[in-house]
Amino acid sequence: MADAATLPVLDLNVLIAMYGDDSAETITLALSGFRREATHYVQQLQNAGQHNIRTDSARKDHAPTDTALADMARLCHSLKSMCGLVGAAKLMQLCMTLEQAARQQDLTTLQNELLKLAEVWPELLSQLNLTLLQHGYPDV
Amino acid sequence: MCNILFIDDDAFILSAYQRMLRGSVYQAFYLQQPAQLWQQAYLTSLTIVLADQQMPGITGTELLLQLQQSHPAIKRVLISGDLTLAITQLAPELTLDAALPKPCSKAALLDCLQRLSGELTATT
Repeated sequence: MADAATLPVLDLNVLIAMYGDDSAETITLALSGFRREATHYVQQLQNAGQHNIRTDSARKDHAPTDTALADMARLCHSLKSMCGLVGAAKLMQLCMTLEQAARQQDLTTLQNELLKLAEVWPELLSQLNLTLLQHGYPDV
Repeated sequence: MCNILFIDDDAFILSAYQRMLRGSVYQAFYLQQPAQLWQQAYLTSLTIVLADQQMPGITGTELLLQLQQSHPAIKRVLISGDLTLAITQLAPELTLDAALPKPCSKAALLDCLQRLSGELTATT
């Protein structure tokens, strides 16, 4: 598994290769759609982390249910594919780790990796906004 | 004309396929709710169905097996973020015509569709 620190936040070459198109129209369509959908997924992941995935003593009696972990794995799986389409490599890597931890019910890894989401997502969002602006997308 | 259908609960992924097939020779349909497949008027006109493996309520392989039993002439393609796992979990009676990784590129998608539609042309 690649070291997340060395991965690009957003690699447009991946997007261009996946869509087979380097036009500004396709780039802005893909990135604006990704930004909208990924925001929704990240919010759900963060909510799940706050309400279900806590290993501290205050929540020891409230272990996440199998359903909560399955939901988290499903969210990460979907977000991972979306990241792969647009070249959001760092978030994709994080989603892979989170999905695996959720499937293995590894709560410690899950909690630690969810904390990284609070760094990785704003960094990606900033890069998305910048790239959209550079390609003439008006609504940034 | 080759009519194809993509089934995926993720709207963003469906919009990506739509973009990739813009200007192609394929008449494509897109469905977010797999359970609605059987109510679609275009169902009998389809030549290829591509289904995502991980969907709420039903997996792609379950759906493709139902399709194989009800409409065996329609070609079946599974799309999965974890193809190795999905293929090991296939029902033994399900026959796939192809499998694609998720996400898949425009080049891989068109290559698959051309191969399958070419097979159709060759056998009809």
